[in-house]
Amino acid sequence: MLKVTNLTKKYKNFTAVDNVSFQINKGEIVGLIGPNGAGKSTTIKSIVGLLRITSGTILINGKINDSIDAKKDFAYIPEFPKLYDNLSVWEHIEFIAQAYKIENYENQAIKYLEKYDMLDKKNKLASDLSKGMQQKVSIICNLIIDPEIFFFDEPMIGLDPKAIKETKNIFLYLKNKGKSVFISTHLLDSIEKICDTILIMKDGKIITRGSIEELKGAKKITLEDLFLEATE
Amino acid sequence: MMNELKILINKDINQIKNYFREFKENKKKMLPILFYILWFIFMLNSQSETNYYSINYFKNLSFAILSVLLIISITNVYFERTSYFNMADVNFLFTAPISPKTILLYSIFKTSWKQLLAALFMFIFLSPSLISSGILFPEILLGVMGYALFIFSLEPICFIASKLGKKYNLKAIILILLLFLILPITIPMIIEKSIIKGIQSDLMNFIPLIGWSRGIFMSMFKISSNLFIFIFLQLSFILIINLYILKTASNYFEDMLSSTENKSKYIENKKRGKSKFKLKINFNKNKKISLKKNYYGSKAFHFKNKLISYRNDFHYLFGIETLGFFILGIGAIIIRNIKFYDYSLITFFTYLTIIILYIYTLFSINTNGQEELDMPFFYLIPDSNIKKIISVNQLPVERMILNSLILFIVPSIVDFKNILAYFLMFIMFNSIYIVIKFSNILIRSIFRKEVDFTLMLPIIKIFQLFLIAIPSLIGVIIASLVNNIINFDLQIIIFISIFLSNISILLIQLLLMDLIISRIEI
Repeated sequence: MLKVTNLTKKYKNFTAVDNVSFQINKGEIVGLIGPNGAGKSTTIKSIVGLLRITSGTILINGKINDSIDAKKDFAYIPEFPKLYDNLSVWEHIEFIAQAYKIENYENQAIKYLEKYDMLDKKNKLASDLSKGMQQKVSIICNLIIDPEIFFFDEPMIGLDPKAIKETKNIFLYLKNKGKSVFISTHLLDSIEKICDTILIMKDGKIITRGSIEELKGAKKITLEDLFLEATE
Repeated sequence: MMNELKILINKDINQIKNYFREFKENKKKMLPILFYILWFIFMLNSQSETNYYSINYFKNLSFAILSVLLIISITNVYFERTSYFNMADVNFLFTAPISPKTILLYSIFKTSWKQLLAALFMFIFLSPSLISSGILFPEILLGVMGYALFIFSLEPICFIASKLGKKYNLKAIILILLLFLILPITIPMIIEKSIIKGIQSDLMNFIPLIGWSRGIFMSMFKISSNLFIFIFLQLSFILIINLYILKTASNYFEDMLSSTENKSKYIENKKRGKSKFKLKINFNKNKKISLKKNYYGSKAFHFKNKLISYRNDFHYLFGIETLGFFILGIGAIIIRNIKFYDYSLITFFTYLTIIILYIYTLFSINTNGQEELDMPFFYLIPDSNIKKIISVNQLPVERMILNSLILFIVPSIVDFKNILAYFLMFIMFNSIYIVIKFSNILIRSIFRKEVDFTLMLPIIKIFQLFLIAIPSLIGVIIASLVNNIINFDLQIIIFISIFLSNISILLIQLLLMDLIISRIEI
């Protein structure tokens, strides 16, 4: 589904992502964790084509990541969602549906709005929404695209507990539908129970990878302990 | 491509509709619009009473407008906030299956359309004075064309400069812009040996961009034999630069990312009235700064300001602006000696003082440390509000005293016979500066809940000018009364009266400060 090979991203003399390779299979949830400044956001932005990669290849469903064809196959939920101030929640959904040429999205969109307690805000302008609500709109807009792979950059930031729970359920729902989910976060407990694979990143490199069981081995430790052991 | 364009157009039509629909929900949002309409009507009326404006007036006016636009654009490139996009575009459009070229093409069109609308608005505004100067409506369209073509050239230049600035050295790119767009402006001034004559000279019309546009603009009054050359040059320039942009448009997302972020932050801050003008110079970025630690209670603000000043400037009391004041003082004397202007030195410095204070008034609401009032700790620190306000403003006032001393010291030596007038001007200058600082606090406490500070800004500025002008006006009235009683230099009496009046108002404001601050909600 996603194949990243020898991805390197440099800013002048600083290497933000250093020769990173990994892949995500169909129906897999992968968590990318790491301390601040580890290169998580740069990795995800490079994959979705917002940043030019210095070297390496990124293939989404076998297509080069920044091609128009590849863009139809993924959705990206940024860390800080910014909406169009003068568009309502529903108009955002309509706009995205048009941009991705999605038909008959209305019922599905209403279901997602209900899940996130946003149905009554459907006609509110984005400028009238709180940051958490804007995050919910951003997630909903991307869910209706229904692509093969989802990229979430710090998805839980700003969400209320109910929305966090809903988002975790959404991850599992997407997995059951055979979709792949890539989550970049530093909130370890939010992904511990849902990720099939964990990538731990530090100083631009992936230093540890595997399923949580594999990484823990025989040790009776939490993901937090594992993370601290790997990054310190 | 047409389908993609249709999607983008629909999105923007919806946004425009919603913008106006919001007025129904929130009537307060109509206030600035109403103000602009009234202002517009007032200006149209007041201009129709005037009969004639000289060609030189329009030469100066067009040159001033074009220069200001150019400087603002270059400043935006320097601060990396030149972008056709906003953050919502980055989040939704950049990752959508829409061709990057379509997105860019549409964004260029959208920006140009907005600017054309602004140009038309400006010319409707100017039309009474143009018509009263004998200009016919079709000729006014030539003026619109000159202005619009200039604007259409500026945005693409800034886009390319911004893009190249990511790849190469941004400062070098800025230097190139200055060399090719600003420096040539001085050529006619040097040839004519006068700033004003240089601006009014027809030679100016041959300077790229500013000149060509001015040439087209001035053809409103008298069709220039070079009009078609100017139009051809300007159009060719726009065509070439836009073709270049579109040719290299497949891979611009990363280049636009930080500029768009900066632009969004800047607009957001402006809307909330928090945009700051700050040169990105950190002289002592990594230097360990050691200050005495005996700044307790409200004095902690002064301590913090000193630390920041040390970090950003040569010294906590002086920096780049001090150098600016020094150059201004010396420069004024030098150009006086080569007869670039005809006023006496004291008159020139009086004008200079007024201009500096006017600029401070216009920009200080966004610049001068009033953001403290939005910080919870300002209210939580256990000390008197008056002391806190004094501490917050202490350093900027100290710096201004030093800066103005540097400005006035050279002319008072050169023009020694007027030393008393310079001294009083110095005192008056600083007293008005303090009034400006305090009026900022007052403004902040009154206009706190406004959704869009940018839209409200003209109203706020008029209110602030009113606040600052009152003490000076009282001063001038007292001066004229005193002048009838005692026979002394009127200018000196005015300076003293303004100073005394400012001090009195400040004392009243200080006494009211506790009440003012206790009314602020964050």
